[in-house]
Amino acid sequence: MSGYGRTEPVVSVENLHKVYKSKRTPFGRPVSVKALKGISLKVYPGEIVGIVGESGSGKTTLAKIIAGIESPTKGRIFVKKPIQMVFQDPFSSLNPRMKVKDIVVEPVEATRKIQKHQRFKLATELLKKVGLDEDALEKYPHEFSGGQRQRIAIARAISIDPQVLILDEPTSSLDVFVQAQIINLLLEIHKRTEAAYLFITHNIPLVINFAHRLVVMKDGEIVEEGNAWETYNTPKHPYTENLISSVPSKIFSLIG
Amino acid sequence: MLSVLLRNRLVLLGLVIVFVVVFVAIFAPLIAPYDYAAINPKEVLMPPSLKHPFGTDHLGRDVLSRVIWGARVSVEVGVVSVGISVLVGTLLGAVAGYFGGWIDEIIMRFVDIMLCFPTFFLILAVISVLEPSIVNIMVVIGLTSWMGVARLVRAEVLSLREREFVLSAKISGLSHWKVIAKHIIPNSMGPVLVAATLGVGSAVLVESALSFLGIGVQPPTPSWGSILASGKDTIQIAWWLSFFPGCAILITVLGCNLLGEGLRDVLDPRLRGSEK
Repeated sequence: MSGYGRTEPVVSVENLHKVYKSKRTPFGRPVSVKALKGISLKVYPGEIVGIVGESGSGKTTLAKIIAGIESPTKGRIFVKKPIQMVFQDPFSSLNPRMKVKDIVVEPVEATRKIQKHQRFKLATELLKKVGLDEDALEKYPHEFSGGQRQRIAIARAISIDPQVLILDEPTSSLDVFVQAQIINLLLEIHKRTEAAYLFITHNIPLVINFAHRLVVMKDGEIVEEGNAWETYNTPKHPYTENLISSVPSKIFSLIG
Repeated sequence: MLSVLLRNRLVLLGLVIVFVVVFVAIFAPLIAPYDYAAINPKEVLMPPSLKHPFGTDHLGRDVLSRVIWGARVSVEVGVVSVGISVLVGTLLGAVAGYFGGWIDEIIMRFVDIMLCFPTFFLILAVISVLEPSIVNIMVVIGLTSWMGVARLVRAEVLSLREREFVLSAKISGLSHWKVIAKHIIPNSMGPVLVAATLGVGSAVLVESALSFLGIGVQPPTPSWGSILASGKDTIQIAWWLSFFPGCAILITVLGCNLLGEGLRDVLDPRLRGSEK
């Protein structure tokens, strides 16, 4: 997708480093782990970037730094706000003591005050966008299934029309059928908005169906980056090849 | 949640005891058969009878009425002092756990220091300097018993602050205080509820002990502890003066402990999924 090169990026990180240090104790030295070792990445408006890599490759650390909940040890970062994130586990990403109507409008409420009747209308609209009806408004998260909860999390994330939406393995805790539904929903939303998606996953066959660009991470570094299909069909790095062959590709037929 | 609670007989017993004590405390003026302060020189140290089911004391006052009014003091002290300790403990624990770093260090070392004092003697010392009144007792008990709550809340917050819904709130730009008030504190109340219920029991005990020593609730207001104290000189000839207030203390504390332990079972993390 070379066309994106002409616009200003919505996410731009340069030479990002992150070192986690253990607490100093009277016994032994502090242990430090290098989670990111010089990551540079640009994401353009409307682009879907798939970030792939195994557990511990630093992809979630990168996501947290871009989202602003971790600070880098070194490096420059620019992110166009608002930014939102959908997490892997829909069972811990929704506050169990809040009603759905309060969960979905919270990001909007953080930026401006909303009247009671607007609140209701806004919450209903958001739920409609993710395919849930208004019965859900007065319920608590535990009354929903994993897939439905993920829909609520998505409704919350799109409530403030984010410029950047980070999706941290949003489907890997769901069964294959629900997975396809959620992906379709995300793609449908993508068509209507200009949000750039950062799709973090270890499932390459899944992400190449809709990602424009693929970024392969290993041990805190980007080992390969390029057009999604090209990277998939002709991987240059042996690690990429490894990742591709290690995931069963059953999901293909389910993506509409 | 309630159905799980009621399935356990002992918890149910605890709940019933607590309800009865609170009921008696609230409606004391209506339930008590006599005026708690009415002195009757003709009926001094009468054993339990139909007229005076718990007997009378050395001034001829009806012990049943005094025990009923004593429930008021116990419930008041229990609820208010535990309220203070929960408030202080939750606030300090949440701040320590959420912010971490030097803030955590300072608050938790302060907790350690507070725990070094033998609490009861600290209360004794403070009360003997201040005036012994019910308000002072409640405040002092509250301010010397929040450390357990602070530790509990801090431990909860340490795991909560890494949870996705908290991260999500931060990403959305909520202020730290809003995150603490809306997301952290409501989700860390489970163990606090347990500690609070158990705390009511120990607050009742401390108040009784203080009143027994004569530096608690001042006469003529009856407290279980002071009735006990008035009976200690005549225990060999008038057992009822010590027996009934003693039973009241025992039953109340037992009820709080049974309820508290039942709540702990219900609020166990493994059962949290089905909790509303």
